[in-house]
Amino acid sequence: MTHFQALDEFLVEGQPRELVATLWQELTKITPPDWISKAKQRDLYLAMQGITFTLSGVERPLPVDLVPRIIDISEWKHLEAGIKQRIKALELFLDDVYGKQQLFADRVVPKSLIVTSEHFHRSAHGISPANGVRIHVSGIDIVRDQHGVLRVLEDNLRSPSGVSYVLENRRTMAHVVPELFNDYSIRSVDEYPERLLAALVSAAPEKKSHPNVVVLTPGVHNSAHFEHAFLARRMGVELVEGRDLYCKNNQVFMRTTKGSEQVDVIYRRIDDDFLDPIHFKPDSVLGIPGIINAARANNVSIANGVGNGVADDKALYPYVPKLIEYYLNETPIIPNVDTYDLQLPDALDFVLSNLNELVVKPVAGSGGYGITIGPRASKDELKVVAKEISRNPRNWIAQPLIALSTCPTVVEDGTIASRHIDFRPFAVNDGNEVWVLPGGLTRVALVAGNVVVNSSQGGGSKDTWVLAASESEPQSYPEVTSDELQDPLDSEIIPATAGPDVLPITRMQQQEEQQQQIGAENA
Amino acid sequence: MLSRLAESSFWLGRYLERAEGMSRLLIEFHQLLIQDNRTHVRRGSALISHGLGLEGEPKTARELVGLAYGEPLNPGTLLGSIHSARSNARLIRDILPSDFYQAMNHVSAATDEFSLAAPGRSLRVILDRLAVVNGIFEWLAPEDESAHFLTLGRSLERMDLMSRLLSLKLENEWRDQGPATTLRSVGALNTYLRERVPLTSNGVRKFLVESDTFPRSIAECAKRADVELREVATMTQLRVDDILRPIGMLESQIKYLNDDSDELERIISQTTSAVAQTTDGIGLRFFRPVGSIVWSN
Repeated sequence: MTHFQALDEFLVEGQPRELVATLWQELTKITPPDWISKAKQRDLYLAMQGITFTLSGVERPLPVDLVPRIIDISEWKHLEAGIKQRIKALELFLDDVYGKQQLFADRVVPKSLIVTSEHFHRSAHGISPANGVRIHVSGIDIVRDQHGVLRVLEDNLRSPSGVSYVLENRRTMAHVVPELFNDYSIRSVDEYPERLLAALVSAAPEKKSHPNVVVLTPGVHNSAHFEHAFLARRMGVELVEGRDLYCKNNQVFMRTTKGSEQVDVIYRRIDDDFLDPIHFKPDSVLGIPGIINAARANNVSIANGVGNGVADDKALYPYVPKLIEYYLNETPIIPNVDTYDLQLPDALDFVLSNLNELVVKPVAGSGGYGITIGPRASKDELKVVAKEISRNPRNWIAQPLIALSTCPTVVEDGTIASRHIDFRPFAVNDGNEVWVLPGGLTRVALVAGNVVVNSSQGGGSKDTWVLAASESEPQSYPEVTSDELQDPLDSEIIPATAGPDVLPITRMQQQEEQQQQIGAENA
Repeated sequence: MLSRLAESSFWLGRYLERAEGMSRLLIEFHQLLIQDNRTHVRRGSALISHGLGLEGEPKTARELVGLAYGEPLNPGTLLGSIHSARSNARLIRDILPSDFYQAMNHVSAATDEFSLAAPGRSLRVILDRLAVVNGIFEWLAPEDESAHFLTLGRSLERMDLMSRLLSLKLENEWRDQGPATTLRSVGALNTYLRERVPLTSNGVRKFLVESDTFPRSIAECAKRADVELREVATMTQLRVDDILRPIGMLESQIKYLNDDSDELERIISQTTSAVAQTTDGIGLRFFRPVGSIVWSN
């Protein structure tokens, strides 16, 4: 159990917030047996569409909860600005770390912290991306604390996954619970693949009109293979494995039936360690020998950049607000969760003596693995962790336990109960602007009281609705005037009905004798 | 073959295609409209219903689906086209593979479970079952006159649906999602993307008119209709050049289409009339109208 009351996204003392009032009304009309039947329809839909996630080698549908999460316009603007700011600062940081390293001279971050990061790759030093972008795609995990403040929990700048579920969740919801959409104007999430493709195209080494972009996957056994295939399909590009590519003369080629075809941009969903056996793990069979040299020679662009992991290393995380101030001269828009840097002796002492109240995370971990939640751990477990931390404090960070906000969620027996959630919005950087997908992956811990929401830990997801601007304040939509509304069929959109070459749209043709046949049948 | 059977084969092809095309369109339009409760949903619904030749003024996504789903006696609606397809299949049951008629009945049965509250799912079921019907036809139907009439009807209906879809100019109302929705509505998104052409409004319109890789483009369907009609002509030893004229002209206009967008729009709007003229021509030549028939009982 958490120490303090978590904030609920929908309800205040049992009453719905204004934002969700209409939705809540619809939700409460649905009875538990109806929810169970809708859940079955959802599972069938997901299974038939093959929308799956591989967990421990078993392919299963990513559980999407049927209650959406709603984010209002002003909060979204705040989040969007904060994410853009963070990405811009982290881009500058990576450029600095793999370039001039001015930040060490200015003593912004201890050099030892960076060079001891297992994601800091000397082989990435001096690679300058064609359009300056290293963080083409990012997923910044956001939580809301018990005071209602949105905070960054962690940055994911290597291969953040989950965006395919954002798009598919919306379609699933429209199939299974269309009634919930009543009275809401929601921003579409559908343009993500186009935005991603545009960003990848603009990352090409030379300005080609049709650079050859590919998605590189570790293969069908990877947990996120569905997503890799989804993105390749939706961008209209090839989904390749390492064995489909080879390097020659510092160029990357793809083996095709027509012969070799040069590849210009690789959106890789493979970790750095497996990318190039010449520079990293020599026994990797997933990678392409020579690809790093090809990137250094500016003959291919790798997205996301090699060595990005140094910027989302959990040990760097406490320094990100400082980086925003240093590089952008701005105050961070979204604050961090307070974090203890265990390389500082005072912090280490404090953490070791208060382990039972803190959350400790291994800096190299992801997917929720290796996290110890102090208040829930046994004394023996805490002892083991204390020993590990003392042995190598660089490998750990500690944070106070945050009561992640909750959101009503349909649970197994068809009732609605509160479950903890977090939020992963996705951002795409094409070199001109950082675009944040209006939506994102709300992850939900399906087990009561659980605060680890990762899908690898049995978490589920929710469709996330970012509300569209009101009619008086259009965003990306063309403005509709009342004049146009009065006569919808008389607008310029319909082809003119006059003129020699243009025919009016007519009723569909039908078989003249059809009525008689039906009459005969009924006779 | 009997004129009556030829006519039923032809219209079976058209109605099957219409049912499939409308199901696909409605899934995408519903998805498009449902997320957006802004006033232009009303305008969008009106636009779409007008484009499909429906009578009514739907104000919401649900009302639009309700209107387009329609009623059995209106073949311009989804339910009507399924009903009409089945009526025609019943008339030529003896010359169809038995599995075909059974599959057709499955499609009909799917309409009994149609739920306006969750149309996406119901439409998906209809699409799946229609795919079985089409699959059985491809595998088992003999390549006789009936099959040529059916394919001819199907090709003409595809042309008609495509020109109606393009006339809607969805991208004017939904700037961001319009082009992708247009492609999805005919199942062309993937094929288009693989051509590596940017997803622009004009690119999409041109692709759906002239592509020789996408089987539902106006150009491909016109080519197919041309071939099928010539096959029928060979089998019946009747002339079809005059009937083929509107389609042939459309084909040559598409073949010599340049970047002139006015020309493209002209082709799109002429397609519907070319299909209507061809259908009339086929009816007069092959179906031997017998005037009105009075059913005594």
